[in-house]
Amino acid sequence: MINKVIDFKCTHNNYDDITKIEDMDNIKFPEAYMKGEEMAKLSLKIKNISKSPICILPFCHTVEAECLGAIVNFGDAMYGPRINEYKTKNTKELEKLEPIDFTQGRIAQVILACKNLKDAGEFVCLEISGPMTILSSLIDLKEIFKTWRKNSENIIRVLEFINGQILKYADTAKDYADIICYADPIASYNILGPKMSEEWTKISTIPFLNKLSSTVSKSSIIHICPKISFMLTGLDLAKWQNFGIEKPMRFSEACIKNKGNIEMTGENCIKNKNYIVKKNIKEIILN
Amino acid sequence: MTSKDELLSELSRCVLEMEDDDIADVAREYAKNGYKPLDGILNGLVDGMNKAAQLYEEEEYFIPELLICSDAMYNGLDVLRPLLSKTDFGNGHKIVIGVVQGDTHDIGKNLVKIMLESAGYELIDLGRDVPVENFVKAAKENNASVVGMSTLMSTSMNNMKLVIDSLAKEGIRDKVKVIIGGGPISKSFAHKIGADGYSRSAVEAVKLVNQLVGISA
Repeated sequence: MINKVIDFKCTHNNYDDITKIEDMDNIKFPEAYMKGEEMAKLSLKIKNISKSPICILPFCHTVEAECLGAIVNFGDAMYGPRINEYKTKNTKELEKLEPIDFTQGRIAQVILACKNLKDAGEFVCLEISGPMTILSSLIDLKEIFKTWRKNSENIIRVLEFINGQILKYADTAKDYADIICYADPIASYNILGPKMSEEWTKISTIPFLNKLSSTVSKSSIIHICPKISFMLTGLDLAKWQNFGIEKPMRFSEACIKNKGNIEMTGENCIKNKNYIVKKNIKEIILN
Repeated sequence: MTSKDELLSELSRCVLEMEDDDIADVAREYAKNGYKPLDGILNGLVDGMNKAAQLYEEEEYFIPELLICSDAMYNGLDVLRPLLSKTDFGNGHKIVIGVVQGDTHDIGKNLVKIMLESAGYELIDLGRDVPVENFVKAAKENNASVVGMSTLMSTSMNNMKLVIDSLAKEGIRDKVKVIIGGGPISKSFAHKIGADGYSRSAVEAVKLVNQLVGISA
């Protein structure tokens, strides 16, 4: 069972597209990472330069962690937002995290940018981060691993809280996002290894995806980052099912066209503009 | 009185089996018995870490295990290292290490740091998202033999070349070996930018550095 897990190699970097944009005259940094209106402009520029059918937001995996207390360095056009300082050194402190107010701060601006783009007739993809990636921005990852081993109940309580917040995020934004992309790169098989990735997937990822599906499936299609989707199928926790399409097309286009036909997909990176689906798009069905 | 061999074996086992809470007591018992601290480090703690690294290479251990093993090793070192004389442990070489500016992915860098410290190098860890000038400044201030840089992001790769160019501009390029690593990095990229070596893994990094500074394993 374990040998069937394929670790999908991530080849796409958000800033590869940003650095290709020549006309940056009306886009300011770091405002483009912080203000809804500027975010929407940048996302549209990236969509146009990559000839993509979708506008993707945000441009980093720091939004949720910032809401929960991580300090962010917002960067510039070359180097985007990244974590400057953890929230805490102690996993017990993570049990005191405060709920996110989705009407305030950068997360509210991301939702606003999605709304603006949707109102303008664009197809929008909202990327939400998974809990391991968020935790790795709040605390040294080593502390998570140590506590998981000795006092997993501590981490499980924190996971429940964080997953609840991510779910609320998706619920708040769902009417403005045709695609909700779930990515948790730090929870990938090549980092956690077989034992921890299977435990983590069963305790956190699968229950979360089930709830996400119930919450957003009427308005959005869920794309699962292939680092996670390949792990789910490799661990026999999910299976692929082909859904026929009318003609070959870009994967992201197939996702938009099949919103409502399938609930979850994830056979390749949503940003991979070279990946063409020919006869089918693969739906991922949780076991 | 527990024999030296038994305690060395126990120190090694504690590292390998991630007994980070118990190892300090074992190290204290070892020291209380008057056994040589350097032997405790090399044949106990580092022995365990090397075994853990071997399991990592064999894909039996993964990053969580390796990081916790290293914590156990450092807990043991906290007891035994203060008992050493200054020249006892360490090969005299200093290495400046960090993740280049624009990137905060540091798991790989941390693993390399652990393995190089186990091999007797003194590490000056600049952390992550490190500006070019900080690598150069630290190399100069510490009289470093090696600068090690990593990144997982293709947009940050060019900073590695900028560091190498700055070392040359400061007149110290011939005194410092430069090694690089990370997801988008390759041997050909290392060659292209004038680095002295590329390492695919933490274990390989030790062999590479040993080779570059002229230390036999």
